[in-house]
Amino acid sequence: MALTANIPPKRAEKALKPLARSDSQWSLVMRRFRRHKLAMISLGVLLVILATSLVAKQIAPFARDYLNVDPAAKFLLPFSRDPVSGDMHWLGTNHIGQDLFTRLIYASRISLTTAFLATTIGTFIGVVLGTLAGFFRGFIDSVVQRVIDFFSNLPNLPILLILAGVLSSDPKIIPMPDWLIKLIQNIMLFEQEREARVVAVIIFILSLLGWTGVARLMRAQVLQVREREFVEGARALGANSLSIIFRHVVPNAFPPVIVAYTLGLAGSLTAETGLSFLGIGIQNPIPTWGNMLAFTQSYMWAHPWLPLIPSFPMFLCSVAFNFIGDGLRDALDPRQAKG
Amino acid sequence: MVNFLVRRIAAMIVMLMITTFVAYNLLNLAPGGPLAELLQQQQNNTNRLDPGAYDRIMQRYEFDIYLMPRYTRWLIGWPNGPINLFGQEMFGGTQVGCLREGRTILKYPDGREVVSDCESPVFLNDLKGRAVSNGILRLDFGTSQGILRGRPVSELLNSRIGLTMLLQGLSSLIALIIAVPLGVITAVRQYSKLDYVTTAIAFLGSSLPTLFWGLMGLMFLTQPLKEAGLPYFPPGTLSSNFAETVPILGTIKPESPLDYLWHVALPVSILAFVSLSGWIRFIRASVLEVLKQDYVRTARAKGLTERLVIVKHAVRNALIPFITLVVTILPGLVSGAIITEQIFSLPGVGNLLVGAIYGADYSVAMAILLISVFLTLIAYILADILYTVADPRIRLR
Amino acid sequence: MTNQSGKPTALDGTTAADLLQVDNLVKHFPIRGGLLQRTVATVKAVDGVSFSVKKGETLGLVGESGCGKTTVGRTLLRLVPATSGKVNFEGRDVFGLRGADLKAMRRDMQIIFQDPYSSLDPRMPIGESVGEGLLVHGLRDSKKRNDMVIEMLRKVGLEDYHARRYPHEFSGGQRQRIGIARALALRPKFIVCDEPVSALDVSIQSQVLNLLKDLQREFGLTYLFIAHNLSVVEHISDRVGVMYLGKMVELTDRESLFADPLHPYTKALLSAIPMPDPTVKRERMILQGDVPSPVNPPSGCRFHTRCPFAIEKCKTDDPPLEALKPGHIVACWVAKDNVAKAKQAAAA
Repeated sequence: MALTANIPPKRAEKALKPLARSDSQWSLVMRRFRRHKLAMISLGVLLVILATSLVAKQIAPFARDYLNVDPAAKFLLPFSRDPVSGDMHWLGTNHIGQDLFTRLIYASRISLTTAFLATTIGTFIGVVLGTLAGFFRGFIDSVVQRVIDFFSNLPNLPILLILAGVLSSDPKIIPMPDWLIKLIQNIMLFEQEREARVVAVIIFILSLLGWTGVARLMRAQVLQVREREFVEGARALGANSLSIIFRHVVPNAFPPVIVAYTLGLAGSLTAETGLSFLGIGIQNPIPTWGNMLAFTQSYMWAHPWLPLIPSFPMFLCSVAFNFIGDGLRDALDPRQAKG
Repeated sequence: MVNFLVRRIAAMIVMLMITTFVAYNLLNLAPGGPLAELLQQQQNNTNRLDPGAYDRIMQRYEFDIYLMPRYTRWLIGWPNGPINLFGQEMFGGTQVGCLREGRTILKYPDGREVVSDCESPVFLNDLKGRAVSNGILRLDFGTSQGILRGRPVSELLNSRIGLTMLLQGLSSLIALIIAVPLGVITAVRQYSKLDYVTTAIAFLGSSLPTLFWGLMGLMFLTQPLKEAGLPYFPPGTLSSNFAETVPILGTIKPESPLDYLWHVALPVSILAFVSLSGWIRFIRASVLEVLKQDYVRTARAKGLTERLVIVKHAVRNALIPFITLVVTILPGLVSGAIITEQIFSLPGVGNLLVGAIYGADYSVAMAILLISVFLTLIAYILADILYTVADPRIRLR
Repeated sequence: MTNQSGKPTALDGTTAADLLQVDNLVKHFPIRGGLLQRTVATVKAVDGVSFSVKKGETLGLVGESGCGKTTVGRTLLRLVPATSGKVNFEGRDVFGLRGADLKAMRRDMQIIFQDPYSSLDPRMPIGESVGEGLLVHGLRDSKKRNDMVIEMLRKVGLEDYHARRYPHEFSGGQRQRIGIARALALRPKFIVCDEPVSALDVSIQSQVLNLLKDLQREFGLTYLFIAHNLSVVEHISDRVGVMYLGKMVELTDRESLFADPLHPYTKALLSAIPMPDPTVKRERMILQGDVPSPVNPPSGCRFHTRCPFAIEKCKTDDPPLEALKPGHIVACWVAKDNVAKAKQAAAA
């Protein structure tokens, strides 16, 4: 073969490639995400709900468990005044005269935290196990695979029901680290530790069933990434497995997990609602969107606006998580044109 | 293929054993549990607990037997007395349970004295002649402990399973019939009006819990429609108390087949709506994915009609991943409609399960769980087999 | 395997002073199946390959895809565990190294990959990719590391500011330069070049080949250059080995191989090189059939199923690698007969 093309490489290639702004992958992703209008709006809505729930204690007009069994205070319409104090019930009251607006913003704090914690714990377990299984293969892989099979072969709702039924009868069956209980108690503004324990059990159950999907996804991703040549290159450089996992494998395998995470948030929110409705989830007097909705079933004939009140923020968040997931999926898709 | 089946079925049996063992232990470890529930009931009925009642309840529900032998008795109906080896009865003196706890000194015939924490121990010999089920593996689900006290669980299941299967079967069928063509069409006509409307509705449907849609259905499609003089749905339950006259449908007599259908129509629609919302999104996404592939471009380039391209190349390949979703109908036939049954007060299996957990009727709960796990496992094996049918590249080893 | 006397140990006359000696390297990949997932068959990717590489030379390794040449490169770097065999690098038994010794060996032996798109981590600025080896080997001072990275980038013809860029901002040729810089950052003595130009446009190929040659001169590097293309190998190699189905079939210096190929397979490969002059007529030798499966390689000489000169003996007996001429080793019964006949003729 004749080797005539002896142009100085520097000049030749610079001519082909004009100077461009240097971007990390993440800033590219953010730029693409920002162009996804629905996802951006969803993010905004979610931030507003989060912000409201963050200052729940400060803006709530009533105490969380304030109640008034006086018939005159029951089922008040939105924008009516309390017969005792004269304070405004922005969203009306329920069957025992509790202020729905107050309970709703406390509920958003509790429901969202439950969903976030459950999904985060589940995703964390899934990522760790999926990575180990995919990266090391062999014995670890077959053990993890069996465990994944085991959990994903369980019929979700019946198991959830049985677990929740058994565990919520005595939350101390599962030993929970005290810091977690304290954390939940502080985030959710519980006065009693007992309430935190009940919620911790529900979080535990939801995360237990949520991790298998992530583990499968992560394993499949890691299996792909570990075959890429840069991983082999890192090994040839003498890098050990741990640094290869943290520097190369996890960052490259992670994007689909982020999408799965947002969808998992919506799933946890829905699952919590279902459990509450069946009377096995988080119970009164702790307010959640789920049990507030569940409670309206008995009264909705006479007071048809009641189900709409907890449904609305639930709907907003669920849709927001879905849109953000869609937006991230598009933004993270390497086939998308860059820029 | 044979290898594959043998391996999968072996794995399935192991899986069933582990699940049931874990669930059995969990249920029986729970404080309160069936015993407390039963004692409570007894006390409520008679206002006082007669001294023999505790023993009777303990023995009847085998709470006097340790967990391990109780589990094996539940599973295979063994041990049911001393172990018979070559015609010899052995291990009759082995303690397998304890009726009443308390510190006692046991004096054995051979003069040994053993300090025990059990006041009245149960020995293998004592199990002789006790009623025992044939074991759940031989399809004897035992007797109900709460809901229908003393009646066989299978009787209870038989009376409920038909309704759940009807709900799930019918709704899945409707959802399939609508979701597959709609998912394909919206993908093929991406960004058309139909696509926007369908995607938006599907998005809503899959973003909100079944509970929400159930309540909305109950609220808007029953009384309000009736008052507006339109055909309406009944508000839950399985049959009316009186004959009702519904516009278009005419007069519906209580407990006639039409009445039955009329009552399940709304729950079936809600179930179908929720599952088809998810399915449409799934199918649309996978058809879009396939339409981007090179072989579809090749098919178009070689001059196939668009219809042929879509039906023969795109749809066939896009529906392969859908198999995984469709097989979940199978376990759903037993326990998939828990929430819907609850909303519409329908006496199905889901309803039974919730009742069993509330009422601490754990033999019923275990039976339902076992069947669900079994059907889930069968569904996954079925999915793998269907994959090979749909995709000739996949071979089961 | 070390030979203190310095006498020739290998058939082709190389000595223990060689940088790298590979002795009877075998790599079998198991295929599992059946009820208990037992090994039911093995893919014999590399089936007893021996060669050595002299300090400062480039040994080309050619063969069709699937002949095991890439596996040879990866096994001797211990990226894939070998089934059996020995690799000796500067007197060290490579397969016996553990822990810190293995890591130290990795400084000396590096690899350049075929695919410039998958050989760089897309989520890492290339400066970090190039400096990764330095970090792994304990250079924690980021200032020093950065200086060395920039020096390396300049050496391969890139600019300082490129260090902050991400792989997707570079062309294939530039990426391959980055890959070279990454391998070179540790100042290795020996580099496996695994088809480094196969994925590049022809015009870029020569630039990268010239860069590799320049760097070899500057740093005194030794290359094992793997390629499926004889014309690329001709440009860069001092000696060339030809592999077929996991075996070495011919190994000699470049001139002898191109002027006087002895193995029929080598002849076929050579006749496939396009000639720049269309008027030159030459004998084309086109192989019939496909490469047999390495799971069940043919008995005797593995090439006999496709060899136009095969004799009965080829079907039953595996020909050994023999030095048929000085420094020219071949595994072929027919070539052996021909050389013997030619000698007799010359003697007569």
